Amino acid sequence: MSKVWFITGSSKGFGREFAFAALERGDRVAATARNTDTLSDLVEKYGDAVLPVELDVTNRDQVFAAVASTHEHFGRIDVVINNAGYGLFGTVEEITEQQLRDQLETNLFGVFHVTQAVLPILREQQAGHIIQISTIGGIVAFPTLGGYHTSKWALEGMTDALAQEVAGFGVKVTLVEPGGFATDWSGASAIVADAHPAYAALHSNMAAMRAQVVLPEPIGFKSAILTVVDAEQPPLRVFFGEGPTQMAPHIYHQRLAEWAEWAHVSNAAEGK
Amino acid sequence: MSKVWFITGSSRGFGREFALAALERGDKVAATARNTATLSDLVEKYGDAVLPLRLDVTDRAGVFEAVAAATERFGRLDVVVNNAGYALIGAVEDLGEQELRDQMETNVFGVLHVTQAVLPVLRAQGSGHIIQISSAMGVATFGGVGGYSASKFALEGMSEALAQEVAAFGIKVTLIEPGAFATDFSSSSVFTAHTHDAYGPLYAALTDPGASAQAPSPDGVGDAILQLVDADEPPLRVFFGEQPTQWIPTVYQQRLETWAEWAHLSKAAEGK
Repeated sequence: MSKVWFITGSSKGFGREFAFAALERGDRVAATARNTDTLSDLVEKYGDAVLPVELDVTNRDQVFAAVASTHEHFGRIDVVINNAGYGLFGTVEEITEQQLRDQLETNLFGVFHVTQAVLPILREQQAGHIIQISTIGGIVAFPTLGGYHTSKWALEGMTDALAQEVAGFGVKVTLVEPGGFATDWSGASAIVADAHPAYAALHSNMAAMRAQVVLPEPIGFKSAILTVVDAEQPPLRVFFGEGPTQMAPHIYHQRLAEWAEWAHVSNAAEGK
Repeated sequence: MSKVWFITGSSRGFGREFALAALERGDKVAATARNTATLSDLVEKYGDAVLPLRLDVTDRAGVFEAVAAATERFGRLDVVVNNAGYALIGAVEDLGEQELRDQMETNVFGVLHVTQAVLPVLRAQGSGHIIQISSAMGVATFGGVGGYSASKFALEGMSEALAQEVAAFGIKVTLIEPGAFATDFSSSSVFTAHTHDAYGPLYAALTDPGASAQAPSPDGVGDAILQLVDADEPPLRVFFGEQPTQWIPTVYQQRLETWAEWAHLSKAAEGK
């Protein structure tokens, strides 16, 4: 049976790949973007199968209206992809309070709004799949990306709890954690904090590192998301890209080793 | 040499234990609380060694003033303990937008304010130790604490980036991750005002008094933090309490298994 998708941030990048994946196989998609002009080629090609919806995910009322119109239009919602998001570059000392607020507004509160708007529908259907586009940066943290990590780690924590809360309603939850890909995430879409001279060396080191990395194209994203969506028991967490499959276990084992090394202090804290 | 501490949320619980541990061994403490009347017994007993400061960490200007006052009074800052915080309880679907905002305001922005206020001081000194009171629920989570985990996961991600950014300045960063303790932390928790019947069983389980009856007393947390503060190479992460030393490795193992099980898809996402 064909599925109904609700995808935020469908104008470009991963969101666009997901929308094409769904439409190419005959599913129906409510594709949201801040500017629906960016969706006109989708509409031209797939006609009634796509519902273009103007949406800024930071606007809670607009989110609820977009979800309601999608539900009314297609009669159900099967797959919800919280894809809209962007990156904030700067050290923790450099980013402004407002830059961090804006980052959380889109990457955390935007997801929160959509999730709260769709849950009553999914609970009533006793079915549905909420897919959060997180990142390897929601699991590990790199210097000069602390604000971005704040938002994505928060998303991971909220979503992990959510998954346990809604499993009993037949609602599935997946965190898709991409590694680096050749999208404009670190280019035009990013916000960059004003640099503080104390961090000049760090910034030039990071820039040199980034210059050396050749990022893969997200050519397999379409088939990968379909596999996640069609799985009977989808994973709570899944990496997109090979890099994280090597990095994450390495860092997890480092953390486990450090916790074990300091377990005497853990025990001392409760007087043992 | 005696150390100078800046501790937020010193009125009770862990913050008070930390202040007492420092003062009892002759260190100096700028102890902050929203109501300084709660600090009067500390002042009575330790006199000039303690500087009581009225502070709500969500007030950015107030934070900068408090840090300036502490630095002026004691001439330096060695240990900064971001301890002020509370837990929001409720299913993700039930959380009020404002409830989640308030949770982030205290647990994330409060720490951001203090961290940004102390960093110029610590960088100028070429030393200092920032200690974030996180939670085991900043690493793993369960149903009903999605908002709290969002804030504590966020703090973890921000601090892991921060640690790498400031290591070169001689500044250390530690995340303390306590399990449950018999403090009045649970009575300071905020329960969502929007409980929905669908989550009745979840709330019944969360409020089961049997769950917290076994929690250890926090008598040892003062000694434990002294061990961290005095370490030449303190850990980035350390649990307080024995329970997380068992719980978290199990959760980590589960995540590693899920990622490994789906690694074929991770590779497929980049066309491999």
